[in-house]
Amino acid sequence: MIRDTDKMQLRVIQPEVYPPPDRTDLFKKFPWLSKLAKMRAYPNVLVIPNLVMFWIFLLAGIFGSPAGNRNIMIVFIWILWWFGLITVLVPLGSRSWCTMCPLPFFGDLVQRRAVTYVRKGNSAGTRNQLFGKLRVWPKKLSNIWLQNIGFLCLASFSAHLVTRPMATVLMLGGLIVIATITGYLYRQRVFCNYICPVGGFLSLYSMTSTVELRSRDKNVCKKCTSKACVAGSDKGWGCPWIIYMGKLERNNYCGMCTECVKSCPSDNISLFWRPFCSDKILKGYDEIWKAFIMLVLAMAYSIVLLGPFGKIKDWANIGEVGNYKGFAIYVSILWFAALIALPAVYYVAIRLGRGFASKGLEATGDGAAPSMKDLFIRYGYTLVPLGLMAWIAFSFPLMMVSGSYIISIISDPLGRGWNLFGTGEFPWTPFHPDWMAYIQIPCLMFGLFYSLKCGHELALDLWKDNRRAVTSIIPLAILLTLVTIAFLRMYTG
Amino acid sequence: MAKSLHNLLPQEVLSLAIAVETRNAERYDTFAHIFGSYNDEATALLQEMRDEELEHKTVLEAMYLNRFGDKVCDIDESDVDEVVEAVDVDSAEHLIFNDLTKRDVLEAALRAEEGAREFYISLSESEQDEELLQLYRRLAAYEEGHVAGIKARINQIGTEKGA
Ligand code: SF4
Ligand code: SF4
Ligand code: SF4
Repeated sequence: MIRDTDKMQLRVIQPEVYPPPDRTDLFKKFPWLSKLAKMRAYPNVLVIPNLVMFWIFLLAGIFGSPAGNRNIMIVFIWILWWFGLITVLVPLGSRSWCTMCPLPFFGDLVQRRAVTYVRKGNSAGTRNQLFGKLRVWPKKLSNIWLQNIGFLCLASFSAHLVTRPMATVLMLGGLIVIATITGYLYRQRVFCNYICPVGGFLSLYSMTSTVELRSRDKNVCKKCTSKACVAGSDKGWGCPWIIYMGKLERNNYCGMCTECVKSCPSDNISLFWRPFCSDKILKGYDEIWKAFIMLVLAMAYSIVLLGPFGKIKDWANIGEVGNYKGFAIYVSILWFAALIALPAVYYVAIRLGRGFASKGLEATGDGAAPSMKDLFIRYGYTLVPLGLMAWIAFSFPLMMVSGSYIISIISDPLGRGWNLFGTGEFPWTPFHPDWMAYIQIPCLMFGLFYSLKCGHELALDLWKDNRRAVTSIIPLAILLTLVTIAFLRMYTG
Repeated sequence: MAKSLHNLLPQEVLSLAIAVETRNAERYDTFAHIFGSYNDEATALLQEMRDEELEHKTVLEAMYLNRFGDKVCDIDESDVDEVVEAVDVDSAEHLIFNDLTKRDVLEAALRAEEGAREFYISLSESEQDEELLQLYRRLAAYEEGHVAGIKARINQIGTEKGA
């Protein structure tokens, strides 16, 4: 069963012959990349330095200045890392952050009792030896609802998190503890698949990415009897994200750990360069609600962190202002907008579009209109390119206004007045704030363009008739345009 | 280098059909291993399908013995370009969402058997010598029997809750 949408319709816009002409096989073009991916030390050569940095940041969070802009943890994580992640890593590298992420390191260590070595064996449905309880994650929680709720919870406290190092320490420390405990109790990367709040939005926006890991020849996969990509072998661990590469059609749940590249006996997996927004299939309500949440949060963050609304800023900033009533109002509006209001407006747009497009359908004998459920979930993808670009548009000012802290903080990571590299006195210097609109407007227009383009492709796929397809997405296109205008007004005043 | 099925001798074709059943049994076994403990019913069905493939293999071996005696003919799936019959699940994400059902398993089996049947039918309509054509027709009829059997099972579970 393919989750909530109609199985037959899911194939249509996936390329039948793989790789299609618009893909470039990067492992063939750059053989060193393939060699790197096959090295047992990879990706730990990235994870371990990251882990060291992570601990340094945690220590800085505990022992450094409590003022956010004077603590390396806040500046590096909430400005540099966030900016790099959303503007470069996700759109150009899919879930490449997950390749190097330090959070699941100890959970993996508990399960594998190895850093680079692979154990052959027979546990948890793999051909590897794994340790711990290796339970199966409950079926009812086998979706991204926990990630959705977790992200909303964190987002509710975002103003506090980005200004108070200790709050970030507790959050990241908590995540690493949960990742390790779930690594002990459950099989493979349960934390990454179902719990990690960052994983949820990486999963959604990696669909737009210009790279993908896929098998080269689907017939080789069909003939393969070992399915070592998911089951593992003496060369690699069974996919920690429990993905079967032979049928992989979207980036969402591939953490790009390259274990499958190492274990595939036919050397049939490669990294492909591909057009922006190549994966277009959302498969469940949990995934589309993720898209609602992310779009609402992009707007909320823009209002709180960039907008001129002092009162709302105060409400959100519970830690500093302590206005509990205001905070309750802010959080209620945020959750209502993300979980109910936007989905409801979206639903109305889809319903209207369906009504317009299906007029006279039975009379012409063209068959039935796609179900509301299919339309609701499939059209949800239109929120993805716009959502990603709204986040990028939000993140540029963050970097341009506060990026100069990075220079001073390198010399004074704990905010103690040190001057290690002679840049400790570097003043706060916003970088061309007058350019912001020139970056944000094209970002949003680009996002809107892709949302409409993908919406049209999805509509054609569902309706099989251009006139009906276009008619069906007109109300949705109006909604997306209004959302874009709201962002533009916010950014350009 | 892999060759096309169109260039095989009758003995090779039958030998390949046996290899295909063996490999499919292995694939069912692998899937049963991977999905083991996620869904007991689906896993049990995968194991059942593995055993059926081994039965098919035995029937084909008898056919081979009858026709060609005990002359060994070493040929495997990887020696030909085409995919004759290869059972495969329909989604990369079944484990993530823990949503493989009995129906999914049967539908996977059906796709594989239908693929094999179509394959042998198309070959039996090509220009070959009569002996080979007869063999293709027999294999197509044999696969047709499997297709019918699986369809009947799908219909049977059609109304079962959670299938
Ligand atoms: S899903 Fe979360 S914890 Fe897992 S690797 Fe990705 S960012 Fe890290
Ligand atoms: S192990 Fe390789 S050939 Fe086999 S299914 Fe996985 S990717 Fe395909
Ligand atoms: S399919 Fe699995 S093993 Fe392969 S890179 Fe993605 S997460 Fe890793």
